[in-house]
Amino acid sequence: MGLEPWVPGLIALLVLILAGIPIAFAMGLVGTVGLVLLLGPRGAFSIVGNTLFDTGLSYTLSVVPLFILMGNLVTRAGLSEKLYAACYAWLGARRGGLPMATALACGGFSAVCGSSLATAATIGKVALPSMRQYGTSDSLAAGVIAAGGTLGILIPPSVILVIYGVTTGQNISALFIAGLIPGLLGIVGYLIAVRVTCALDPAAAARGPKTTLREKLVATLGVSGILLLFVVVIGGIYAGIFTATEAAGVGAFGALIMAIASGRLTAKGFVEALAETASTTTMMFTILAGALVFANFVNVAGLPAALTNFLNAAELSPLMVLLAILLVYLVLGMVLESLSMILLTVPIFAPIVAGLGYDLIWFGILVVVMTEISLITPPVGLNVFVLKSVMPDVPLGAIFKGVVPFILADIVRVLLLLAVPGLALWLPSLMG
Amino acid sequence: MSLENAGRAILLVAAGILLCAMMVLTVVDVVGRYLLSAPVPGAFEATEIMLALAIFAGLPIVTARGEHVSVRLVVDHLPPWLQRGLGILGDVMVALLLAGAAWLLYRRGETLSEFGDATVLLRIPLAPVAFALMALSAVAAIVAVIRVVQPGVPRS
Repeated sequence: MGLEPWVPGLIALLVLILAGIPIAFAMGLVGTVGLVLLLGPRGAFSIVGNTLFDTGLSYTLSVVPLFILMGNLVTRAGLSEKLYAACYAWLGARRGGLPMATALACGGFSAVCGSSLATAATIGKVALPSMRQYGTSDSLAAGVIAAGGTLGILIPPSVILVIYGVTTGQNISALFIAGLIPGLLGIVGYLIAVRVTCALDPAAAARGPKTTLREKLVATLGVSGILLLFVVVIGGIYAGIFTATEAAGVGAFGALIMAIASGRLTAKGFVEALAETASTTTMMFTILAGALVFANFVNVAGLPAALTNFLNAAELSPLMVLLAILLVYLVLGMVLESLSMILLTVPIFAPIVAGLGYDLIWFGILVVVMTEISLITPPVGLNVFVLKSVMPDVPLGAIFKGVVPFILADIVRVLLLLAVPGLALWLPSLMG
Repeated sequence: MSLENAGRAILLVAAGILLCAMMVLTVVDVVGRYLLSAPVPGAFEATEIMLALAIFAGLPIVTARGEHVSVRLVVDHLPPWLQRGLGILGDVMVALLLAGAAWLLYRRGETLSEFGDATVLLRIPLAPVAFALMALSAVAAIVAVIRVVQPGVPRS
């Protein structure tokens, strides 16, 4: 058996990516060159040309910019202050109350924002000053925001789940609903992680001032806007009133109205939100197009078949294979940015996982939880760097140290999901 | 310099208007369907085309700012001259691929115009769409070339 063409392809891609060549273009280049060598220029260029045109003109994918726009508008609507105030009112006076309120606020914000980085940055801005004022250690404060922010891509809406759904041909609405319970589990896990950290190191967090019942209720009323937006968007998807794309359009519009009503959205802010959405969208679609070209190449080059043969020869049990795949995500996540990681791996792994008889909705949730972990593991946990930019005076090492209990909570969550697939699959099974 | 700013402003405004239009169109479609039993005909097709145009309108801007996602893990530890060299190599590759994309989109546009392909409901001709995407790709390629020859461009 000679060297199969996907081997030099993968090596070339790895070298280019590590050399700092933009990932999208590294994938596009290796993919195109590989296809030309395998199929000749005519066939290769027709595949690449179609990929470029069809990726742009995709109705399903229009959900992506609309949810990004919704997130960008929501972050400008001052909702994060109200959300944090409400979580603080209920939890703040307990032991470890401020970081717990932060974890809860991150979860709440994730319900209207599909991006982990935006969730960490937005909640970080309100929660950090308050945690520092009431004596939460920098390490714990940074850790809880970085970890809590990762919920953005799991609790619907989620841009990453849309991309997963499009790549695997799974129903995006079902994926969103499947993310709900694992997302709630994530919040609970993070709350426990805070409690344990505080129990081990009582100096990590002091209590905040007590609040009266009246204050609690007033603060809770303040989050009615977020709740309404979530119920309309995700409830609409669950009840089958909206497709994911329609929900995204309605959600972005609702966020715009809320932002205007809050009196915080200036014309300049609106233009900025649109500009940010435009460039994020372009970046994501560039990666998507590059990854699709590369996926075409590895398919033609026989990587999926080689992997399947290898797995058959190794006679691993399906669970072992699944665990090995999750381990790959843990390792890749340390180097690659999440979207590229998912787009590079899912087209290869999904057929194998489906062939083993596993549900691809469930696998999608597992992949997203692994991606959440990758956002906070060194050396390139992107959420950690977001925190670093919000609090430049705290050393990176301290932030990574603060994240450890939350990574442990995440690992427990992955094991729970592996043991009880119903945690992801029960709610979608009830949909109409 | 002012040409650069004007170009950026035009593209941003175009992309912003397209995004807003997608949002409003979706809302009007949903409201029309549920409240007035009158969905917007062809909303689906218009959304697809606006999405493609918005994505490609962002290409020159993202390219000019050097905002394409890359892995800095190894590169940041290399000597400065090598970092600069790899940065230039990256821009050359970006320029080449964007130029290639423009060429492929041009060919696609030619095929589409030959057969007079259009969307099903609204009869929007597809060839001009492909040519618009080609033009935006080409502009982005030129921007990448300028980054190669112009010293001191931002390399994040």
